[in-house]
Amino acid sequence: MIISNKRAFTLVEILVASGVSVIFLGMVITLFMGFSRTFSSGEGSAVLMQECALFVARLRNDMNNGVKTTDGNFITLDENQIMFNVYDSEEGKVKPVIYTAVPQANGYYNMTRRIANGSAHNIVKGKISSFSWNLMEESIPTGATPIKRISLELNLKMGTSDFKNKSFDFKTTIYPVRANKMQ
Amino acid sequence: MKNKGLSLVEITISMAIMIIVMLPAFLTFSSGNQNIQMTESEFRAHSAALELMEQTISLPFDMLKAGFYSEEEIKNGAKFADTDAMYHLSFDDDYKLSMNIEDIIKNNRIYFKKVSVTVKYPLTKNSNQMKNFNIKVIINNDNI
Repeated sequence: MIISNKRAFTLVEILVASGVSVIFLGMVITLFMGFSRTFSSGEGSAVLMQECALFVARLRNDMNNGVKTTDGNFITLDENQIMFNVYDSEEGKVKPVIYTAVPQANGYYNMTRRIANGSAHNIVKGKISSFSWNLMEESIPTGATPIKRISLELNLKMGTSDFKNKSFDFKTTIYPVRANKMQ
Repeated sequence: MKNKGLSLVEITISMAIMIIVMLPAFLTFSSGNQNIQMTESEFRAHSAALELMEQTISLPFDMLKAGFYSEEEIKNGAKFADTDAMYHLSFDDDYKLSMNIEDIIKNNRIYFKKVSVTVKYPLTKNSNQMKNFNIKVIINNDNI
């Protein structure tokens, strides 16, 4: 009969080893979860910020190319829509551009852009939780005739059902330079 | 044969090695998040600069008085130069704006004006590290 000299682990050794492993893994998992949560929250912000930046850049570009109509008006706006004329340098024509906020079933908005009779394209898809736009008109006294400076005050709160705890707030004022030069 | 278990020193060393190996992976998350915050600050700074530039060049050419406008002068509601036009600034005080307007003169006539806007802004929210963003525009004299 061969008697092995090898000794198995005792219950105490196994318990101690398991305890150490659990503590170590617990630390690793907690760290990972923390970093992962921060990262996905940051990722949510990045997506909202990117959509906001694209929309604001497009609107700013259109407004800078905006021109007044023959009756001296620049923009018509209501709660969910703004419309103004832009000068299209490619075709050498003035065309109306229309931005419309379209409410969705989940409470968020799409923002669409349409030129003249073309089809409406989504610039922001369901990532606007609330917004407001106001036309500001200043009359600046300069000698005999005061000058008018118009601007659009834009307040955006970006959010989405995918990142419910995340929002991105942005406020800016856009001055249509070309239209303001047409006194 | 006598089997010897792992000593505490060996376990500690192996844990340290594991931490060193895994740390860069965790730091990737952290630095990714910091980059997102930096991008947000840059976007806001860029928008602040455009906002000031647009409202300035929306004014008639003759109203754009050459000179340097410091961040103390450029405040929301303050008057631009010696005119009645007011600054409208949407961004908070962390975004410090300054502006320089330069006349470009030829044959004693001002043909162009060069408008430069600089925004000094924090690298990330609540950061002490500041960064500069600068845009320049040349506008022509409509009266010539």
